[in-house]
Amino acid sequence: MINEEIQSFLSTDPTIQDLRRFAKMMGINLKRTMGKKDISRALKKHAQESKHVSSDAATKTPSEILRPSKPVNAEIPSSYFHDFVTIHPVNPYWVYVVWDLSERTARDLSTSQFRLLVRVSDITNIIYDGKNAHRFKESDISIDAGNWYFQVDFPDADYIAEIGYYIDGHFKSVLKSGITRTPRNSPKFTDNEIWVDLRKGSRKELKVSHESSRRARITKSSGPTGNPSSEEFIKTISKSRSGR
Amino acid sequence: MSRGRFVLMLHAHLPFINHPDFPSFMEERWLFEAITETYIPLLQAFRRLRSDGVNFKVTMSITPPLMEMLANNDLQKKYLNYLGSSIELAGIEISRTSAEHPAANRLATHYLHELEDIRKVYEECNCNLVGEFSGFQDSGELEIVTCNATHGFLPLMTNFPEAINAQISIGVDSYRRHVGKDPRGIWLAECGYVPGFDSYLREHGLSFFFVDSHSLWYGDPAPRYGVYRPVVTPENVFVLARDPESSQQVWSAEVGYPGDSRYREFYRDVGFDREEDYIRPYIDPSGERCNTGIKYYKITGKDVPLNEKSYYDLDDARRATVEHAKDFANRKREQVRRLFSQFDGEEPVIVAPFDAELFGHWWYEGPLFIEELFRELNGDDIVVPSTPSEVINSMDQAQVVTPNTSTWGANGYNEVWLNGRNDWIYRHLDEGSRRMIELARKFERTDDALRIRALNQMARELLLAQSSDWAFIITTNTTVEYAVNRTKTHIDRLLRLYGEIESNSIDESRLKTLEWIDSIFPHIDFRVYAKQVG
Repeated sequence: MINEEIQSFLSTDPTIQDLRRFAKMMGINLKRTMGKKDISRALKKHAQESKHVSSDAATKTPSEILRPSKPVNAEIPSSYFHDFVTIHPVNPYWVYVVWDLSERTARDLSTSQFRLLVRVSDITNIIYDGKNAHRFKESDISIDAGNWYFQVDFPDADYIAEIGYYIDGHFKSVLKSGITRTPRNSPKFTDNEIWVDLRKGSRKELKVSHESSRRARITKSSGPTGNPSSEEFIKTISKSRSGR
Repeated sequence: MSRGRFVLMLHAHLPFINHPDFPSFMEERWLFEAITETYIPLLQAFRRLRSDGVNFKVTMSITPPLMEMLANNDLQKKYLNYLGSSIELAGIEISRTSAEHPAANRLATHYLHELEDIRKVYEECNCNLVGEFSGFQDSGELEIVTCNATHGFLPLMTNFPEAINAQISIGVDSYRRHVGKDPRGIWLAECGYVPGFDSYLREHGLSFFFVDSHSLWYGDPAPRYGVYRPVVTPENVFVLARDPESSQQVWSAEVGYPGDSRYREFYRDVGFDREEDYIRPYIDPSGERCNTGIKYYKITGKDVPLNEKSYYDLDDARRATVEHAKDFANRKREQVRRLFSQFDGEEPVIVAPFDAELFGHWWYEGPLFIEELFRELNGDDIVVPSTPSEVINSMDQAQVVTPNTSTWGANGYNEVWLNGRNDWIYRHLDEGSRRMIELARKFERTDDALRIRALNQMARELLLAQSSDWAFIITTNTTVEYAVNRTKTHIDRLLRLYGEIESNSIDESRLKTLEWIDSIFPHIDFRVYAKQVG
């Protein structure tokens, strides 16, 4: 392995500085007086010697040895083979569902003839028993997709995602996510304000008239509602050379 | 009489970028540009205000990765080289422009002096910029808040409360080490908030945080005074919300100050304008062109193409800055009067958060704008510049409100950090958290020094992968390759470490290399992930 790495490194016609660094990383002692040819020769010799020896350096590429901090397009697993499904809100009307299956679950399910579905159910303010959702959406996308975005009906509502299949007309759940709540996108007014007395540390409940609860609305509408990190900002930033 | 408070909040952040094995690395320039163009100019403005006896109050979040980079010896040396090279370029530009145009020549001389002053500030404080900022905190003019460890996007970590807890805990600990005291407040990365996060903050002794406007507008319940009075969460943590009017005045492409035709044009730079042979020593060694900070043109007009811009005039720009600072101050006075009349005698509190790098880096005249704004407001009866702690100390009562799930990203929720381009990241971040928690619990009591080092490094790799910057860069389509590779590389390093720790086959030399390059949080203790949370 080292042999191949060294050969491939030498074939890139490295500079003397790179040769020195590379040799150093390989643990080869060099003399100051050694020129490019001498170092190449030393490296080749080292390659011959380590031809049949396996060492930890074998897993490193030359560039990694030379410049270990350079971020690389490393191969990372596409699946970790656990059973899970999770759900996150994207915004008040979209949720993101991501899932994976263990090898065992995948095997069990692949032998059955049931078509797997991803289902997102609105279970706001109920104890969900698998059948009592207010409403649900299903997608029969390939389970291999690994994730999917669902448009949902309500902000400020609880959603759960499940992977399952139909048997005798009933949905059989195989995996369930936790519950997520979509963000609100409108004000929630109240007649009961709670205030903390910061001097005494006590709490008090305050009944408010509709007049004063409307004030929050007035306050809100007194200014423009544009977000500074708007599309416009994103575009401006995109024109630049760096993230920020 | 109407009276209100004004909180200027500057969020100073850059992701941790450290390539000590490279003599220079393109992305390290982000830090160097920010030091030259934003951080030191802000310090210079603060110094002038102080020596002129002007009352000023600024709040800054200097994030943990930024503090770590500012304190990193390698990066300090590289910055001095970078600055030396900038000074050299300004010097040769003086002779170069003498034959071109007097306006450019005057600017080149200006840049040389400006850069030499910057070097003086940097050297005089022994490269310790965090110490310089802390000095202003000690004298009460600046309040520095922390941020979650690596600016991880917390709303997408809710499946792993341990990961959220670690981000907060390490953010607080890092602040303590660099600043020497406990932070009172925190800037949650991207203002990402989900109800319940307040309990983590409470747990770590944090008494306030910031949210975007709609977090309170759509809070439970909608607060009586909208975004103009801090509220407390059910866990008794104070919440300060962004004032949209202030942001609009500064940010808007239509009416925002930085778009004024007299201001300096960001996109014309000698790094792109000069011929290759001449500019090569001052750009990336690969030959890739980049900004050098030497810029001779003004915005001129929104629709004027880049190649038709007019020369920048320092005096004109200065006049524009003073005008804009006065205008902004007047608008704040008018806003305070308007709000005060509706507030039953309570003082309105206007919170104006910005990315710090807007001031100086993007908007060259920004630091001067801040300076002029405080001169304008000095001794003002209506608008009182304040820090969050001063605001909180002045309050007798606070309404209890649960802020809404929100961020300060485009459209206000999670789209910027969770979309078809970058969603692949989170499967790996989740797996990283899962494995980190698993091993932290398994080896919580280990006394094997090498294993402890490997576990600590695994935590660093997870934290670095979690930086929200990578997902942001992928969305904005800027340095995508770097962001993708950084994510994958940290995940890959984490997975390898996991395998080595599990099989008790830790490669010490490799570990040593990782400790050197991914050196953030040298005092990290992986056991933070073993804690039972939630």
